[in-house]
Amino acid sequence: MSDYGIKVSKSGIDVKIADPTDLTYSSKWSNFKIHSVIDGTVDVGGIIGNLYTGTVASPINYPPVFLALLQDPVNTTRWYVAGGRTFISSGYAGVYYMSNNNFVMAIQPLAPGLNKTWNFKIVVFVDKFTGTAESLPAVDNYGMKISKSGGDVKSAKDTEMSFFSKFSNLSINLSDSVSASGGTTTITHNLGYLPIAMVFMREPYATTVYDPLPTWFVWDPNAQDAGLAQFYVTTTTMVITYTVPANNNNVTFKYLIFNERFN
Amino acid sequence: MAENYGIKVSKSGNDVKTATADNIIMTSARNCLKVNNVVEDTISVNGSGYGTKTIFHGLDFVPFVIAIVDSSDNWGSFDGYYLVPFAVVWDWSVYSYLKITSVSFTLDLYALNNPNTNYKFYYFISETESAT
Repeated sequence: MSDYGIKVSKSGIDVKIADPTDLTYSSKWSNFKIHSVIDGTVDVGGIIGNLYTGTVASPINYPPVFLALLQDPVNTTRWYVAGGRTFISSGYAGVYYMSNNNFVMAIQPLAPGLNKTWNFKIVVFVDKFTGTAESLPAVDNYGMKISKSGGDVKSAKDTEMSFFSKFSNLSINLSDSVSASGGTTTITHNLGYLPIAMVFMREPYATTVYDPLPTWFVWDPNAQDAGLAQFYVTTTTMVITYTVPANNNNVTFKYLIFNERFN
Repeated sequence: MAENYGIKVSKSGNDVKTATADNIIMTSARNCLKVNNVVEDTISVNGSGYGTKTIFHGLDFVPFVIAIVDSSDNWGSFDGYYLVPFAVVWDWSVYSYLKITSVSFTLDLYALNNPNTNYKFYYFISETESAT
């Protein structure tokens, strides 16, 4: 570890010699900074197999890092973290960002009774994937700011900040590995709100490999064993559901539940 | 917040001494998701619309990765930026998998009829372990 900048180690760890994973904060690296959470809807009609989309405008004018959450229209306490091809109450769903600064949630109902208004939320981060640094809308001269290495904190753009008290950071509330069986595993968080969360699945046939959820998998060496793994959050739990693989021996999930919230 | 030590920064309008966890911007009591700078790379898909790229991250743990594929001018009405993994209803997919040594990204776009195309993609790899 270089001896410059601001570093904060975990309790009981000497900050001067701590490994990166033992640092709760270091100005060497950026942190995802939450800009806002926006709400959208998709009016799903009654044509089974048709593709319905809902659009919501991004509050910022460049492709940002984002995460999406989609409410189950039948079991409405459940909110699925949506990547692509999430399967909810017999409907497929996926989210993407359009070049015209809109987020799009696409839903394909595959059964009757899903012709409802589906609700979704998108966490928009300040951090961006592409192009030059941005400021939103201008550098504010208040609060606590820490620029990344090599940047002048007085002139650094918002996207060049390692930390800025204007925006929330993702901080980990719960993180662990769980061995699962039976197709469902539940983690209780009791936060009282819908937390941002991430889950990775260790592949049961290639046990050094992890897939981010949601994922459709074809994972045995002969491509015969296929299924779906995804998860949803409620205000008290996170529930991982998956198609049980034929060998059912090595299903392990690694998860992160953050303090930051979707609602 | 129970702990009264370390660094805590609350959201505007909240007393840092009594703020609940969701109203704390940053606290040294919790690990942050530390990320390196964004990396831009390219995946070339072959004549069958398939392409993959493996990056050796040099860490000794399984990191956290967020990635997005740039198809802002290749897919007609589906032009946009796609979170990884993505595989909605059009018989094509974008996905990744992680190892302790590497992360791999794959595009399988056979149904989009865009063979022999280069796609930009962007990713963050964390300095925070994805989970213990």
